[in-house]
Amino acid sequence: MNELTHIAPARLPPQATFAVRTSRWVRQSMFPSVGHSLLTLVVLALLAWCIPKALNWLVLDATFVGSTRDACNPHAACWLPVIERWNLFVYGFYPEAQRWRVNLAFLLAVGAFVLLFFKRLDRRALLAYLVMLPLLMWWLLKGGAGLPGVSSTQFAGMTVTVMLGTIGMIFALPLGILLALGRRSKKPVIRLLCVLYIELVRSVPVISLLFMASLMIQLFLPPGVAFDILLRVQVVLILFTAAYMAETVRGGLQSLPKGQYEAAQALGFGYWKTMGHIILPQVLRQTIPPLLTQFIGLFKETTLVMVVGVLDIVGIASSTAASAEWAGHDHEIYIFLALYFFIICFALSRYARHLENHLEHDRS
Amino acid sequence: MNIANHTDVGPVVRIENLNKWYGQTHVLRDISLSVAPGEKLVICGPSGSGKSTLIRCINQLEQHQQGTIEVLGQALDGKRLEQLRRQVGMCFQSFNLFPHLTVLKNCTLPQTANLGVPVAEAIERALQLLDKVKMRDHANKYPSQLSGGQQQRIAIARALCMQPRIMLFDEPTSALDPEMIAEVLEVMTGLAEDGMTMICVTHEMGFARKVADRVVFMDGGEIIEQAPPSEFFHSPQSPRTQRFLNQILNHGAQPA
Ligand SMILES: Nc1ncnc2c1ncn2[C@@H]1O[C@H](COP(=O)(O)OP(=O)(O)OP(=O)(O)O)[C@@H](O)[C@H]1O
Ligand SMILES: [Mg+2]
Repeated sequence: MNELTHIAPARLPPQATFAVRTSRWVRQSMFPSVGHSLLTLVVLALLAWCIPKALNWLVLDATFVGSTRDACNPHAACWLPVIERWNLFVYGFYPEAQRWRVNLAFLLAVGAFVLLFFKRLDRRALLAYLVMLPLLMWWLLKGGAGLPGVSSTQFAGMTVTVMLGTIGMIFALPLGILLALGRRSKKPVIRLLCVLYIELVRSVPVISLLFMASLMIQLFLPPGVAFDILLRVQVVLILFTAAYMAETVRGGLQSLPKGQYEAAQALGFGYWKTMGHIILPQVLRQTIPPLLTQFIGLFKETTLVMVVGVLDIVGIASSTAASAEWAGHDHEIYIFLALYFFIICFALSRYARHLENHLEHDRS
Repeated sequence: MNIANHTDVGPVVRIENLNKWYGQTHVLRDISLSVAPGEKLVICGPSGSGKSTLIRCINQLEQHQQGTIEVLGQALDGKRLEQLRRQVGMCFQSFNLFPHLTVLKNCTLPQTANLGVPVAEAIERALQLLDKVKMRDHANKYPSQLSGGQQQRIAIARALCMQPRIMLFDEPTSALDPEMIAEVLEVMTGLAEDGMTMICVTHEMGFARKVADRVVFMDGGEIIEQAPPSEFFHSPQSPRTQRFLNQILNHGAQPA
């Protein structure tokens, strides 16, 4: 064989056994230097001290069965208030016979996320689902048109949180995009309106907007005309989140090279087609992480509706903690609350990561 | 539309007394120029002389303040810009492919979205033109996976997919390495041989000699001189043209 054309056979990278790899990892990441080793030891000691304690208090010695506070172990957590009032936490005061509607609405909301996971789904079908979802949820939960109506005063607990959060997300993003586009519009009137709106909303705390919605709107409406309180806080949350999203999207719009707009124009794309086909797909991709942060923020802000008398899950928790029946168990109740928000927000943020990686991958 | 009928009679582009300012800066001064169907025009001149501005006015990426521009027999009055731009292809120095779309989609989307061409037909036309610029094998890649020369050839194919009547080039090769310049110029030469009306801003004097019907020299926002390439290169009239030609022909570099 000719020496020049001889190619060395490809070799596999060297393999280390599991034990070797583990010991190398321990050495390199836990005990690389004296200071580092000390820190590792301190942290390990702390963990060794508090994990068993926490585990005992939270789970092992905790009370899960029983129906009154007498069943509780006084030296450990007592989950009875949450378990006993589970239905209240989830459904609020929703009429018992109608709870299937809440379940169905929850399922529809989760369905949206599941659908977004599938890569090769027809985009129009997905969009149609997302457009229909808030209307469907509102109709299911509030009733009307065939379903018996449920008064807003019967709404409480997770039903409120999930409804406000999901519907808010779906409406806030498109509105935010429109505001961002408006703020960069060539037409001075549109630009001025959008700037005014965004700046005004961003410089007022959401809590005062909620107060305005619950108290002041009534002043402007003719007597006798009432605006549903849930609808009002929903609208406030949407308008508020949209203003922040507008700024995020605007940042993305500005960071896109001018050449993209010019190339689209030169190929005869009109304004909306340029935005829809060329600009926004690129901008939204870039802005997924900050947008999801805002979604998470919105979800947590739904708890503020408590101040205007809508009992969301925090409201139920507070009233449970204050009830004569379960007084003194606030720790457990608020830990449960924290866990509830953590699970949902963490899931959202993992979801954002997934989308991001997914799109990165798509591109290169 | 009646645009098509006019072209066979008069010039494809007719510019008269065009003036343009950026703020207070007067960047185009009394430009008059007309381009016949099938003509190949090369515009050259030192940096900042207004070459880009001039050709960007032709498809109204820039608006002018004075004078008239007629493209395909229609005076540009700021209306129906989209229709105009669909007939005028343009290639940029920085390619400007859409990075979120595959090569094929870059070529089909403008057709389907702006001309209403059915998808199957758009794909067929795109593949045909990608074949012409020797990029058919890369149809399913994304622009970031390709070299500059390849991207520019795709940008040309993308513009051609709209079946334009005129092609504008703004220094299509000046962002490219030498070995890639040749492949892009080859595509442009092929296009010229097919009879396309072309207006090219370029400093590739070899290309100008070979392909151009007329070379236009600009300096300070004015057209200083225009002549067929043989005349232009052998007996330039204006001292400014002579100096410019000396610079780029002797040093082989682009004028600073
Ligand atoms: N957007 C703008 N705003 C203000 N001035 C501009 C703008 N674009 C270009 N100019 C100015 O207009 C003049 C002409 O610019 P133009 O880009 O047309 O020159 P050019 O001949 O294409 O130069 P180059 O060879 O460097 O591309 C220059 O003096 C430039 O500084
Ligand atoms: Mg230029």
